[in-house]
Amino acid sequence: MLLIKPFLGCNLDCKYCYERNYRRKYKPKADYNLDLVLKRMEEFKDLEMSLHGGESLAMPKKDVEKIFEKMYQLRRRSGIQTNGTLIDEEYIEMFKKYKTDVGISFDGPGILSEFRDPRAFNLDKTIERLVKEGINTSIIIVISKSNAGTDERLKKLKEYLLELEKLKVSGRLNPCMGASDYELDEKRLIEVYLDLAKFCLERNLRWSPFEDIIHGLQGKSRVCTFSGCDIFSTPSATVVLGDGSISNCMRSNQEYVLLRQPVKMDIRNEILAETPQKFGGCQDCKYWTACYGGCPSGAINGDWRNRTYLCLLWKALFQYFENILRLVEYPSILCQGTYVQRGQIPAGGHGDSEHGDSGHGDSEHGDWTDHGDSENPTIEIQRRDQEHGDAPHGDGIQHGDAPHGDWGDHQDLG
Amino acid sequence: MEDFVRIIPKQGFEEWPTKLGKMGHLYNLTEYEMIKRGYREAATYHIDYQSLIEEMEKIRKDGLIYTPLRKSGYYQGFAHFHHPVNPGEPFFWYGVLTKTQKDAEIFKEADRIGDHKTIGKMLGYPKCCTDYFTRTFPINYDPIWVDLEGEVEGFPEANQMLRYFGVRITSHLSCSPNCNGTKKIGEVWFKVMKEMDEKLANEMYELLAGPITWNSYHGVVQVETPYFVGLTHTFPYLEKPRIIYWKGRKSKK
Repeated sequence: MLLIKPFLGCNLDCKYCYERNYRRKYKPKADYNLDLVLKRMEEFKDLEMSLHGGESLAMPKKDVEKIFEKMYQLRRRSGIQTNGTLIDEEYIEMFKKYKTDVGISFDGPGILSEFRDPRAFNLDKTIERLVKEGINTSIIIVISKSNAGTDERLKKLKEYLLELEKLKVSGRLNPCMGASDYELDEKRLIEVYLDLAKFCLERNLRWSPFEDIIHGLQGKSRVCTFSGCDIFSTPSATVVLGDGSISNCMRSNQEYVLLRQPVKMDIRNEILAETPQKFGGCQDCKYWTACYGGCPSGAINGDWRNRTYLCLLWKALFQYFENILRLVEYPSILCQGTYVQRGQIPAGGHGDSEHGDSGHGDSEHGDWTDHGDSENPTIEIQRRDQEHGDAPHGDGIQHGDAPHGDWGDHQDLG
Repeated sequence: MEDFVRIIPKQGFEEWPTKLGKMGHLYNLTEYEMIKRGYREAATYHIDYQSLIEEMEKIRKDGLIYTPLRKSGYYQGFAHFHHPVNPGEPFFWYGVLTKTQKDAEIFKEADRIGDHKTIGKMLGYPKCCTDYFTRTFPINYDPIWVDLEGEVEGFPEANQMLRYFGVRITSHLSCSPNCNGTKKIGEVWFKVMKEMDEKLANEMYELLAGPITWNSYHGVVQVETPYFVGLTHTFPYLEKPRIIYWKGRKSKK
């Protein structure tokens, strides 16, 4: 997935936004070089594309249109992730013209979106309108105290999920991370997600991360969170910035922006596989091959060399769905105790774009969030050959980025 | 974990991986020059097996003697140890450059028996640093001031926190960030370095003067400078990261 982020500014100031620190420090301006951005898009034309931000619709409309036009020219479709507050008639026409898949960040109607801006409280109407216009729409809902902090709010959220189902809209339920004042405490978080998992399963609602959890257990393509990400390369997301720089998914870029490493390495996987759990690793974890320590941007103590601090949440969900899979006698791969070679982990999408994005063309069917592509929304019983090797290395890591020339130093003293 | 080095430039500093390569090359030239000019009795030296003839000719013309000590397998980026060589695979010759055959024999014997004091002395290292290395290396193979963490101030000449990426002024691991012996030797190295490429040498000095954050944890050290983040494999601190926030004390000269 190519995320095009010419403008990192935003018309809102959501309290938990992962770009908030960066935005406050650098106060981004719309000083992007559009020609350079368009040129970069051509270089990455083989990737799915999404206009991203900041809030990309806060850019001048003519620039947004130029980007959509280029996407359409290159891919015959276009995509955007937006907070939705600036969508108007002109944009709706643009979406239709360029076959835009629209991903809306929305935490639910009214008070459920309390940690966002009042302008984002009533996006349900916008979503309805988009669907009515035949625009492919999906949602990212951030689960926080605002929409799941109390049973009453959680009930409202579930009611809204049912409303969305009527519109055939689904997406991702992402836990609020890195914002302690707004995220649920661990106990409540687990309670909420197990409740939502049961709710979705019983009603055949196709939301991530639940299908990613199942796909992890099945050894199938899933979201980057559970695919053993390299934070310096983020294979699921390549970002084009306004100056034409290529960065990683930006989740780790709090104080400065690091340029993306073109070659993925397995360093974190190696560390986590060998480090005892009490020291931040995943050694001997039953769910290792389904999870790979989670997203490095949410690592314990903010250090990518640790596993995710959401470990207990993911374990609870893996366990829940493992039991479900056992009930339907599906042989999940997780008990094999093998170290899956990196090249063999089915690569999924990035968890931060429209459509819940585990199915952008390169995954093997069955990505529940890609609505409309499966007639049977129940758990897919599709045996996958368990070809994953058990060799820890030999996976063709290319250490091509070394400056070399430093070979004269070691053993100077024997 | 296999050897690796990774250099990730910050936005706006794309040129730094290339620049670091040049700095590493300048350092290697300096190390050679230091023995050629007689500032040290010996220098360790690697020769790629494919360029043995050319290198030996150059060494001979420079009035030096090269004594191979062992073969070392190829590796990527930075290695803390010599790698074994498998039959048929490419390798480096690891050996010692000396001015005299006698020095070569002394060094060879010291290397054979692991006499670090003699080796350190011949390489021109301060005694305090040789003692420090001898004491710490068997326990921690990446002994960056093993007793220090938090804010540290010291001489750029003593800063070995960027050596994984080719950036250093001296070749030895200093015993302390404020080691006067290292500073004294470092001034000679830096002078030689500047004679070869003053602009690049000064840039290297500024880089080593910091600020730098050296963060070692779980077998990977992450070094952050104003221009890039560098990663390599290292001694595996398990329970918590060891972090040094470095600020260099620049020489008044």
